Amino acid sequence: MSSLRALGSSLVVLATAAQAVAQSDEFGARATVKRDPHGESVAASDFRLEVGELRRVPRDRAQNLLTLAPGILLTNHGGEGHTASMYLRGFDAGEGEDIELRVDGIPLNEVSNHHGHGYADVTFLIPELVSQVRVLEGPFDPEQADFAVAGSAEFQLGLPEPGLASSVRLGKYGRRRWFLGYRPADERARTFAAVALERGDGFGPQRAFAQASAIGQYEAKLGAGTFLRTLAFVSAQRWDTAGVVRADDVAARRLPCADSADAQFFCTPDPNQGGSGARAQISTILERTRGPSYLRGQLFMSARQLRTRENYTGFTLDPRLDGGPQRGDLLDGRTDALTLGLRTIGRRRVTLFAREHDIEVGVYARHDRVSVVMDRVRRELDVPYLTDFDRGIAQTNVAAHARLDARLLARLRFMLGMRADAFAFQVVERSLPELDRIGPRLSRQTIDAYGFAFSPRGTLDLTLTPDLHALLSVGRGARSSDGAALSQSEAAPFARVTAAETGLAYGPWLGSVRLEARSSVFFTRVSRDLVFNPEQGRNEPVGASQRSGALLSVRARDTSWFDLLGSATYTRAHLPPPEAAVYELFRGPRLPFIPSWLVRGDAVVHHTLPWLAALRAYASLGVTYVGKRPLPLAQWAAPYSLIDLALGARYRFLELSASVTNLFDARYREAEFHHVSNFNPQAPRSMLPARHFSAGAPRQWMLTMSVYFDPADWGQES
Amino acid sequence: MKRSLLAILISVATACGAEDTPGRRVEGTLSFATANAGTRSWALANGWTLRLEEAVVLLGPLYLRPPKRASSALSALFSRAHAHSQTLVDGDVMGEYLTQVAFDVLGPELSTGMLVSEAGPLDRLSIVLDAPQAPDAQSRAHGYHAYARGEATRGTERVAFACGMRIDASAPDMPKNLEARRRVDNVTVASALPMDDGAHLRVWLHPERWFEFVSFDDFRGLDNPCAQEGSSFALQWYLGLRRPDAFRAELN
Repeated sequence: MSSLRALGSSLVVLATAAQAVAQSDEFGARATVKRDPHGESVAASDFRLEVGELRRVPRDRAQNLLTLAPGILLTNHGGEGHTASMYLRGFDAGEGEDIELRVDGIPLNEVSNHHGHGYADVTFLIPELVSQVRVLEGPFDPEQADFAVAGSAEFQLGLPEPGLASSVRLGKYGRRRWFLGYRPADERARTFAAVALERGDGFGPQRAFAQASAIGQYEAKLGAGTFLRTLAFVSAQRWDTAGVVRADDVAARRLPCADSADAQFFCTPDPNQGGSGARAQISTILERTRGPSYLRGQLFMSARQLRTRENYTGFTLDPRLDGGPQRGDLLDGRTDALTLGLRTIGRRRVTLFAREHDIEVGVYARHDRVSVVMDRVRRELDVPYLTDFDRGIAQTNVAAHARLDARLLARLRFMLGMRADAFAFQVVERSLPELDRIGPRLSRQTIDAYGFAFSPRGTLDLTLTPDLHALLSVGRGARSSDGAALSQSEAAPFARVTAAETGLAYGPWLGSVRLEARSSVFFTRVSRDLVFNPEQGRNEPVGASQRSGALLSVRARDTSWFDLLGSATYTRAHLPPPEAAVYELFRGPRLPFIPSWLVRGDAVVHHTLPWLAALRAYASLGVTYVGKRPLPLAQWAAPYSLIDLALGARYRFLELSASVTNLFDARYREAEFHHVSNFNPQAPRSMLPARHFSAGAPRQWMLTMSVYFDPADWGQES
Repeated sequence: MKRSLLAILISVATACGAEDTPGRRVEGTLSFATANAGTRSWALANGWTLRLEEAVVLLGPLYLRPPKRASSALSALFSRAHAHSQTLVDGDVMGEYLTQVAFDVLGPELSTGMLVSEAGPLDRLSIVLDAPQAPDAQSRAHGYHAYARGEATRGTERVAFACGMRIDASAPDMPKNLEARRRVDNVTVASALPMDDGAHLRVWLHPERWFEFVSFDDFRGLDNPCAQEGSSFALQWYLGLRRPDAFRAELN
């Protein structure tokens, strides 16, 4: 109870602080702001995607909803419980290293995670609960925080239908899933509780998984325009990983699987890979809209545990001195993290010179306590034989932003913002050698570092017609440094990005059809790209890189007939030589693995059948085309297409659906890598980087039966 | 202004023909030969004259290394992977030939199979004196890493030897890292040409330098100084064999 009181007091303090900003009425005029402070686009590539009927397109993971936005490609090389790697507009954003991910304001990116600084696990999200995804491509909103280098994405949760919903899904390869969700009939969509349990054997060796997630949210209306919302989720999962295979091993059928092309394609070179994870997270938000002011205060806390066991190099890295056989490169990494943080926003609408303007100030802070360990595991008997690192990290990020939305002319709005971030690190290395060239020493050493980042961002928004806007945006973003890469008293470095884009946003009603179309051309330059150098044990600059391209996204919706969404993105990523001019977009060698063309289509046709009024049927189609990808050494990966299909019908409380993913059973390489490996410890050790890949999923089918009912109705009937 | 716009338009218009990813995979050939081929007798700097009747050495794998500090295009590339940087190793190898060869030092030039590499300047080689792999290599080298039979003479003095060299954990204790112990690093490559498609890499061996550290004075009167495993003769021979200048290479 005292904890609740403390939480409430904290929220009041936060809210008061935000309100103080919001109520500074220096311009002496008032107007009403929307509850959503960012109702207007920050950039041409600011996608606020209501999931709506598009949830019927087969997508087995909530993270896959990100592909509703153009230019996002997901690849998963780590198994069903492993979050997918993301590509966005020319960035290989890893598992979140270059994309800021949030769930209703709660940051998901994990600092200094053993798997990658910024690793963002989205596997716990239950897709039925995702009501909206906002993807902002590029760092153009001053509220975008650490990791928003390529952009950011935020999930909003809600259960659209009141009552009890339960579904059972059976699928190929032993896939079983049970979902149960409940939303009281007299509550808004943001009040719900849901649980999902799932398991499967996987589509090949070492691909079994099991996971459970529970998510609950309660939104209480405290008064006119005032809401208190608490969101909590708990999840746990375990999975096996097939990992990557060498392309030459597959071609020569050298892998320890059957001698067929398919068996080799889906094989695994190390049967001990996998992982597990768990999380508990809670957030409370106080949100108030009153007249011209809007304020929002949020506290969040999360406890997180992740373990991954991965072997990408076989028998290559064992630093044996005695000439004995390599013991194996399986890396057993663990992260335990605790995060506390707050996020507040105060926004005020003012009228000046007969036009309305908005002023916003926000404060963001998070403190992370992270413990990371990486052991190497011997293939024989599966026991650890060496600790690569064992460290504790405390990272604090305090940030503030200010934003002005001014309407200079009737048709011209400009947004100008500035974000300032301060990062403090304290890192304790716990597994250093106990002997150096001077003599004995402790295996422990502490370092601390500090850094600041300032990120100006701005947008010009020209209203051409009431439905057509032209936008021009420029912004800077930053990714903090991995604690592992810092030196004592170092001015903590950042990967800095400068991005610009211009485009059109068009959103008319054509009769009963709502059309939303956006197009843009974009350019991003990372002036001092920092990458981790394993030899030096720290981040080192590798020079500039730049990405440019164009995208188009069109969505047409008719509430009683269809929901169609299509997008196409063309991207080029290059390493420009130092003498290259800014306008030389495509000069210098290309960055590998970034597909040039990415096309995605989602289509749902649904209708209540005229001859059977209570029967609602639908058909959905998902199409993905990934164009050819540049590979190292001037080679190219073949393009591939995937088609997913679903059919379903609902009669009153009962819904049945069937879906097929990868309809034509295409064999494709979901992720490709290029590095040194050797999976045969008896063979001479190759030190030349070779091509590796993880196999994409083959055709799979799923049958789902769902029931919907509201216990309140039963009570009335009785 | 017009010039800038024109440059942008040209840049966009020529996008389709823009550059590929860095680096290029090339294939070349490799051969091993003895310097002064046909010679079986060498005058050593220590005053002795060496004559070999039989000499076989097992060579390989062989690694091609780019100039130091100028990292290869590949190393710049794979360090870009954010998530798995821990698993990545030094990219300081631009090419390799992994098959072990049993080279008859007194025989003709030996051409091997295809050499795979990244295109670019080649600075030096690392040659591994690995344990015998294939059965025929084992038999040709009498089960050793290297085998030599011959004699050293100085006036009327004569030291006959028939030695096999085994480089393993029980061998002389230097250096401690067995992998390093089996490797000959920094073999110079005499060529200004970069590694490219169709290039031929020839590795020259100087067997006389293998024995320049052998103190034949100490073995006078012995039947065979290598009769015992780990003898000082083998150690001195080993030191000579691992001299970088016991090998040299040229790229054509």
